[in-house]
Amino acid sequence: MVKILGSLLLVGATTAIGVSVSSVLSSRVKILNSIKEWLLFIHSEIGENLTPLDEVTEKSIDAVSGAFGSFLKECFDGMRKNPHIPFGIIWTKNITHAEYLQLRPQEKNTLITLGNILGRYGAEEQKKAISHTMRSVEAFVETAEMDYKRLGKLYTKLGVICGISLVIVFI
Amino acid sequence: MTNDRGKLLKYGQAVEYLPPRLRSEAMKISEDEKVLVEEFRLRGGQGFSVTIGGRERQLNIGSSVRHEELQTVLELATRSSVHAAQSSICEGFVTVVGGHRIGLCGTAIRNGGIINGVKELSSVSIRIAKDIRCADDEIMSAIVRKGRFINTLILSPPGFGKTTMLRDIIRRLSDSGIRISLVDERKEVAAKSKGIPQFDIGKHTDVLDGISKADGAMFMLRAMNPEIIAVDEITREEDVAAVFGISNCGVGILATAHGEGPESIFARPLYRKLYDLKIFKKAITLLKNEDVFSYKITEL
Repeated sequence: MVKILGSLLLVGATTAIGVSVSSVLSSRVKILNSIKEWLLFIHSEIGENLTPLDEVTEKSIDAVSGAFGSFLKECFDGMRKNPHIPFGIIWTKNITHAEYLQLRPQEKNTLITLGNILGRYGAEEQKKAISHTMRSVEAFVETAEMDYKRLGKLYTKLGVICGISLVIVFI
Repeated sequence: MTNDRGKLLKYGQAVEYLPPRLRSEAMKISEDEKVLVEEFRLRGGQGFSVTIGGRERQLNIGSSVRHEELQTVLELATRSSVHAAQSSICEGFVTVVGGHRIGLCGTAIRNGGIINGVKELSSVSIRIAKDIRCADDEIMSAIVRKGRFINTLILSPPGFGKTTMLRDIIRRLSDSGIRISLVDERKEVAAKSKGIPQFDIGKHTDVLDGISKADGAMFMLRAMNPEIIAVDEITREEDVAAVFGISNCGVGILATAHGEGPESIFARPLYRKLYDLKIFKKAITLLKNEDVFSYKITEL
């Protein structure tokens, strides 16, 4: 009885590890998609409505859900607390430390480059930078989706197989 | 002492718009000098200076001012929203919290003869706002008789403090309970930032800015039912027409104009009609003798 319970626990634990690794991949897709959504939003707010950046960021918190929404909230709080620090500095610092966004170095760099243009130049220059970033982010989303399709199920199955293998070894 | 504290506060506010490297240098100068500083001046590829008594003094920053630093001033002045301040940038300056004025110079972007913006900044000046109380009791008793305001024109050459005098007279009239509409075409008098005047212009003053004096005066007459309309710098034909418009509506006028005195200004054809029709009854001429300011009140 103890052996059966132990085996079940072991298989359950390794499966859970496999599932969590797989969910990291799926949440990366979600986060990158919400960045895409945000880029569309700021393109129209900055490019068409000429909305000040602090207002755009505040509105974005409601418009963008999930982890990236929380990240935007942090940026907005930073802007409020430090009105005499350029947005690019606040943005770069937050991106660098936001491990929960699970961004890869290239993705971080792309967003940091954009952050150093937002609010600093005229609307046209910002629109161009947003569009350029959008193209890069679309490519990141594609890669993340492929990773998820390719590796997501594999990690789950690996978790189960590892559990079973360990049970066999221990028995 | 209190006045110095106020000036130091303003200095501290203005310094916040400088890039970090220059900010720390600007904070190093003595307090005695800080209260005298009129503006900061940054020139791309050149030095960083403070203006005291109309003269520039270079501060040692080690190397020349970089283009990115000029852009940072603009970014800070617009609270990271350069795109939202485009109309102000087209006029060549941005007014920031505290009433300080950030002047911009670079390559003008023109579209059909109209300036659409300024790119590639080459110089930036930060003019430190000073809330100066100069409308004394003698002035006030000359322009208000038995509770009635007498149409007044403030005269002086540039740099003698016409706008400061106008602002302080508005404050005193307004605080005495008179309803004043200020048409602040160049956003210099009230220096509104996010709808809040950055200078004390009194409790009963309504401000309309970014509009021509003629259009603004008519707007205020319809919208705010003023007892006095105040305008800064009558310089063009249409400004004079606006003054006629206001006077025909039975509303008091307080205005400023460039000129060394009533004789010289009314000799010019543009202003002659104002004199002939006796629209202004008083003139306050601002005088400066070796950095000492004074004024002269004339009955017109």
